[in-house]
Parts: sequence; C-alpha cells; structure tokens
Amino acid sequence: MGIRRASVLLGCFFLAAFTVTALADRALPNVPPPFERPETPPREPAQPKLTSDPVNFQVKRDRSAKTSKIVIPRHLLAGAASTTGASEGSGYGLPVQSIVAGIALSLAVVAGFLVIRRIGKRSSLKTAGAVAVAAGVVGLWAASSAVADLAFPEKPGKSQIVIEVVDKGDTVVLTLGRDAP
Amino acid sequence: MSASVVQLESRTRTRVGTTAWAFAATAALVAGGACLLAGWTPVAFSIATVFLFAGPHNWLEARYLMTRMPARWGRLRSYFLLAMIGVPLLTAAMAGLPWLAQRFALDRGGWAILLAVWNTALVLWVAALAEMRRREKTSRDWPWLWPAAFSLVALAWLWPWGWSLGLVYLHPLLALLFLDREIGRRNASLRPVYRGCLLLVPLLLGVLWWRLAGVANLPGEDFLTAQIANHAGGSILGGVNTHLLVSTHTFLEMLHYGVWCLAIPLVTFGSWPWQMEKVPLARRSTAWRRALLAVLLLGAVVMLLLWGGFLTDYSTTRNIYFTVAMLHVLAEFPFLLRLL
Repeated sequence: MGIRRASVLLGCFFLAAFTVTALADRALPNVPPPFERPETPPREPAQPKLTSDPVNFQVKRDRSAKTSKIVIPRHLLAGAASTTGASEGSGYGLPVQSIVAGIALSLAVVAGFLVIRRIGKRSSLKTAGAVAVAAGVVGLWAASSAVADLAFPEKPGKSQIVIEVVDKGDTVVLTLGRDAP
Repeated sequence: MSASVVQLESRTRTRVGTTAWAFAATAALVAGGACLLAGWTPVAFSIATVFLFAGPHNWLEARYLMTRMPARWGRLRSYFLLAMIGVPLLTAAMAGLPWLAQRFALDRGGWAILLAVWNTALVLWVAALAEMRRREKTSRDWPWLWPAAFSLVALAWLWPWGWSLGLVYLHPLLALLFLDREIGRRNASLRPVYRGCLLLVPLLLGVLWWRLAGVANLPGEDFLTAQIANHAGGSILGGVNTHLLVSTHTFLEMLHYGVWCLAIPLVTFGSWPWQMEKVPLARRSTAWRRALLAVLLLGAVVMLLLWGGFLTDYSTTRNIYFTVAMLHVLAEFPFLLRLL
C-alpha cells in the first residue's frame, strides 16, 4: 500500500472519529462532564457520610430571589469539610493533565504517521489498517472526552438549585425562587 | 517395521489425547469452581485465596523466572540491566506514593498527577524494553510500538485512576499469556486445547456479569470489606456494584494463582522446584547454584512469615503484600517480552 493510500485511510478514519463528537452547537447539560467525575485515592471512603440524626427543615418562598437555594449547616455533613477541601482544584480539570495528555496524543499521531510512511514503502496494508484503526479508536475516545468546544450555559436552567454550606445554624433552609414551579 | 511405527504413533496419539482431556477437565474445573465461589461469596473467597496462594504463587513465579534467566547475558546485558533497574525503582516509587501524598498534603488532583507520572514511567520502561527486544531480530517488526505507547501515556494522564485499575485487572491475564507461550514452546499439540479452554474466561465472566449486574453492593461495612472493594475499583467505578467488581477481580486472581501454582510448574519445571538441574544460572557454577537455593529458601521463609502475618493481622498484611507484590507484576514484563 502506498503512502497516499495509507494517508487517505488514516484521514478518513480521523474525520469520521472527530466529526461525530463535535458538539459546539450544543449547551453543556447540567451535569458535570464525565472527566470531572469525583474520584478518591485508593482505600479512602468515596463519599462523605451524612448524619443520621433528624434535622430541622424549613421551606420558604422568596419572589425576589432569581433561583432556588438550599442552605445546609456544615456540621450536618459529617466529613464534608475534608471532602470539599480535597475536591478544590482537583480532578481531571487540571490543565497539566490535559496538556501532558495532549502532548502524548500528538506524539502518538506523529509516531503513527512515521510508521505509516515507513511501512507504506513495504506495502503492508494489514499493519497500516491496524495502526489507523488503533489511532482512530484512541482519537474517538479522546474526542468524546474533550469538551473544550462545548458552550457552558450562561444562565441556570429551571431545574437548577444553588447549594450553600454554611458554618453556623442547625436548620436546613430551602428557599424557592422565582424559577421554582 | 511399519506396523510398529503405526502402533507407536497410535499410542502417542492416545497419550496426547488423554493429556489434553485431563488438561481441559482440570482447567474447566478450576475456572468453573473459581467463578462459582467468586460470584457466591466474593469477600470470603478473596480472603481465602489471597491467604492460601499469594505467597506460594510468588515463590513459584520466582522459581520460574530463574529458569527463564539465561546463564550469561551476552548481548542481552543492556536489556536485563534496564529490566533489573526498572523493577525495583518502579516498585519503590509506587510504595512511596502514599508517603509523598501525605508529605505534601496532596489532594485528589495531586494524587492523580503522581499516579499518571508513575504510569507514564511504566509505559516508557516497557516500551524501551520492547524496542530493545525488537532490535534483536530484523524479522521482529513491531511498528505499532511507539504509537501504542504514547496513546497509553495519553490515557494514563486523561484517566489515571482507571488506568491503574486496568493494570489491576489485566495483570492476572498476563499469567494466561505466559502459559500460552510456554505450552507453545514445550507441548505444541496441547496449545489448541489450551486456547479452547481460554474461551471459558469470557464465557464465565459473561455469566458472572449477567448474574450480578443488578445486585446490591457488598453488605459489610467493615474495613476489610471496604479494602477489598476498593482494591477491585469500588471507589473508582461508582456506577458498578461492589459485589460484581470483587467477584470479577477475585475470579481473575484465582485463575492467575491457578496458572502460577499448578499449570506453569507442571508444564515448565520438569522437576521439583528446589531441584536446580534445569536452571541455566545454576549450571554456571556451584556458587551460583547455592545462591539460587538461598534465594529460594529465603522466599520460603518470607512465605511462612506472610502466612503468620495474615493470621495475626490480615488487613495490614494484605496491604503490605499488595504494595510489595508490585515487584512481581513488574518482573513479569521483561520475561514476557523475552517469550514474544
């Protein structure tokens, strides 16, 4: 297989892989992107334990408030302080992780191209196809995780609620704003 | 004359047929039993298998690696040097990760970066070994090596926890690859039977996942259950119940132990583990032979200590064991590459 044929094969695969996940015209749904899924180091509890004691709960409507809000005293969330602290500046959103992953993917693509160039001279359709498929699968997977082109919604949707953890108080207060039904 | 040849051929065929049947029956029994017990009582089965086989399988694996080490390195010197430097360095680095995280009060993001750096080092080390192996023969062309290595590095940075978990689940399967190569080298007629038996693995995994997909998480809230569930990825794969994860991991671990404790010694040793006649390094000199025997003896002592530790404090010993066990996980890579 010549270099031209291999390049066309690789190009088609990448085109197909990336276009199906190009979602720049869609707003990000109100869920964290998959790569921001909270993770814990091994052998650590995954979630904070909620207190099992009954707590005071108050619901009020505030027409002046734009969005609904729930206020939770911190001491009712046993272990929440450490979890909150741990999640700050952590997760997959770290630029260094994206940068290194991007560099490695670029190197993979360059190495793949060099391989195709080399084996193109030896007419190895099978190997070139395998490399193209492997690169396409990685590209497809990476593209489905890369959401840099997605627009974040500027305003919260109707189903959104602001969660506020406060240091004082012992009552959970739910304030229904204008957007609440 | 021709009648005796036919008779001999017929007798050989019968013997191969009997061996193949015995092999297939044993493999099916071990795999089926492991699947049943892992699905039915995963935590107890995990505790029992690690207690019984963790030490012996490492000891037998060390004995196998002795057999595979050439008496003189010759032009493989740089290959084995890189391998023998990488194994302890990467093991020490992995053992040091919790200390580093604690020393610098790292959050989850910091942990993820440490893991990604370690995973990158592992990939580059294996890729460098494979590159050296590739250059030994012009016919051994692995054009996909570096594209695959860099893709794995990218995945390690995009999903560090998942990548490490992948290693936990893939490591047991490496034993099956070792066995495939060894059977191919020593008893090629058995290879189709073995490969047929390998189909049982996805089949039994499918049965396990089908039966356990909808069940609840493991009921125990004790530290040991949480430790076993975390080891199987309970804190990483939040959407999958811990019963299924622990069952899957324990099933694969049991296959791994079965291969190293039963199949590999039967196929490759040809003698008792302490008989060194077929070990190339032992044939080098009496001093080497004694040194290897001393290593085996030391390994046996460590095995006994491990059993004692499990009986005294199972949870702590399990933690220590799986940290140190990284050594044998890494040691497998250079020897596996030598079989390819």
